[in-house]
Amino acid sequence: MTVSVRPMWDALLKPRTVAVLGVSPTHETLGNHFLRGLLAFGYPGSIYPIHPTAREFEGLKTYESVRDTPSAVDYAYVALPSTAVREALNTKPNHVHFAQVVASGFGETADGQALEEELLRQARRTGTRILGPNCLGTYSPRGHLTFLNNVSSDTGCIGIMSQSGGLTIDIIRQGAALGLSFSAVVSLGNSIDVEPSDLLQCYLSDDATRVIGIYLEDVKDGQRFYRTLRDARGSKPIVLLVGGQTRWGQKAAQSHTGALATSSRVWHGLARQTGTLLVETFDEFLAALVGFQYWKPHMAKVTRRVALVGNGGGTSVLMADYLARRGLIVAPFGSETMVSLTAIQLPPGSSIANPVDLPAGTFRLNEGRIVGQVLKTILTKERLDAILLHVNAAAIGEFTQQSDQIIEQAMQSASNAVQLNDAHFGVVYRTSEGDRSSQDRSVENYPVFREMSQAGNALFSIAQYERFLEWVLEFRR
Amino acid sequence: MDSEQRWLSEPESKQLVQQFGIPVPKGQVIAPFQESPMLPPDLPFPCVVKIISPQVVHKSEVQGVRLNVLDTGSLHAAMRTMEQDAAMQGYTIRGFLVEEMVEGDVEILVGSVVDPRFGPIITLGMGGVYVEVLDDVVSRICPVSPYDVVDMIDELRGSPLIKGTTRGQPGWPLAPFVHAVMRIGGPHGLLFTSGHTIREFEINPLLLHHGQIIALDVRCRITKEAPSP
Repeated sequence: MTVSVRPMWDALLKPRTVAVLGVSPTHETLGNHFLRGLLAFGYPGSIYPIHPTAREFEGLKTYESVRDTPSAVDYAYVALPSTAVREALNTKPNHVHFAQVVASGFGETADGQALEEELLRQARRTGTRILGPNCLGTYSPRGHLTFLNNVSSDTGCIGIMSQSGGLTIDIIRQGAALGLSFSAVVSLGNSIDVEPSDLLQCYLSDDATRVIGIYLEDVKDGQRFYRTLRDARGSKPIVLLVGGQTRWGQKAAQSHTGALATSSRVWHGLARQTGTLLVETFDEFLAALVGFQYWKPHMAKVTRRVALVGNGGGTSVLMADYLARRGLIVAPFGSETMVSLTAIQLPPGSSIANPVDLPAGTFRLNEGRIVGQVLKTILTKERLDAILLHVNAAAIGEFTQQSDQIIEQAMQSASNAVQLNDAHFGVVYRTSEGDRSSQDRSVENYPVFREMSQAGNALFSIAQYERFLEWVLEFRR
Repeated sequence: MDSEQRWLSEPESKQLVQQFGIPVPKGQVIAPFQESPMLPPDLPFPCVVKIISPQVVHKSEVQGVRLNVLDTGSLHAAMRTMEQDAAMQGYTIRGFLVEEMVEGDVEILVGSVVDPRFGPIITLGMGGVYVEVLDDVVSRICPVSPYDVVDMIDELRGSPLIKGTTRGQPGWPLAPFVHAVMRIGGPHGLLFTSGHTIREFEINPLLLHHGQIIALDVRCRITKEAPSP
């Protein structure tokens, strides 16, 4: 262990020095790609390309081995074949803090088991913490560290760990399209050394990380993982997606219980015990993260009453059913509210009960600002926990010139109307052609979902979390 | 290492849960009929008689249980039949457990297995021996807190049956049941402090009667060596 005032995880999230193992001056390698990406991302520290013979690479001085670098290495990106990894990382103690090993062919194969054990034994001796193997890399905007091109350099609040490399790319790309902004994304692969529990502790203590997203396929130290979550007592929302649940069976159990205590029941139990938000699909995973990024959980009440406003009656009715199955109520408004809404004199075809249906012809009134007016009226009379604005852009485009501007104004006026209210506010923006991911949504302070179900899942997750917080407060656990 | 594990007999298992404050029916162990056809004088009729056999984990599957036995004559007949069945099917009967008949409202399974990743898992299931049919089951990682146990009960579809709140009834105290689950899967529960390394454990059924509990059948599989400190 290194004795230093610098927190251990800084070497990963804000590395001062990065070594790249597996660069080649003659042909294209993963190492080359990583190093160029690092330069393009504006990494400010020292980069040490490692190559046995080349003198320089991309204008940087190369070193024959990672042992020869002038300073200790905070982060080593190791893009070497599995058989070459151990020898390449055989350094004096505390020379390499974190080594991210990309190659597969370790413990997941029969031949690789010995390689894995040797690598781990050596890492314990040298004090190097291994990330992976069988992973892609680490994205840490605050450290200008990345393994993908064209990623945001803004430090966000979402901390991600994933045992699938491919999924980390989906999380970063699809997440960005939904407005997610990351404090860090770490691909953990087989997690032979740095385990999910370690990174969980890192994110729990990291000030930049407000929300944690975890994709797991296996957790070797399940009891520690459980205790870490339990001790956190819901201090940060944690969204958990577990792959391969159906694969784990109880072997050699002869009691009834053995057949009943299935893996999915155990994960569900863990979620209930710790306030972790266990989701079933990738889409739910992203939706929940989006909700937690934009919405502040209510401390003294659990989200339950929802207002739906938008164009597209059928979609709203289906959505009301969807929410009801998750314990969220789209309840009819009170009579006072109805009187006030009637006074606005919306055109025929509009419906002012909850859900509020504003067909395209209504939606375009006041260049779309009618939406804000309706919401403001509702909020003076109703106590609501959440408000969803549903925009079917295609339908508005069919009947309206300059529909983009109208929609923009509608969303803006709605967001203004809900500003002083603590209800969770989100927009569901549906369109048949393209999507709005190309637009810069970072200026908006509310989430924009692509489907009603995403918004519903986000609300469901935050309601579950609020219920857990209430529980923690009630019992002061 | 399955070879080093064994099932405790039902009287041993029941003694274990009794040590942890979970009541079991009054009863006694009697020798096989062939060895000693004399019955002790103070048997509780009507009674239940069950075989004690190291080879049989699920006694009802081999007709190793007789309910509502009314007198010594019927008891003798039941024991003889069960011994004949055992001889034909090739398992040994070490003796019989004769217990008072107990009736109640609701049968529940309370079980535990050791998950390779999470350690002991505690499971509650409605319906006792019909637990697989009803599939109303919840699990938690141990050790559990009393809040976890209350939450488990709330998650069961059959929770009004446990609480006694069906059809507008006011309900009865939940504490005896919650405490029983805690004495199994809580931090100081049987799974952690029994002195055995418990691999599998099951009370099935645990009978509830107006909030009071009694363990009608208990199974426990242990590892033979001493538990690691």
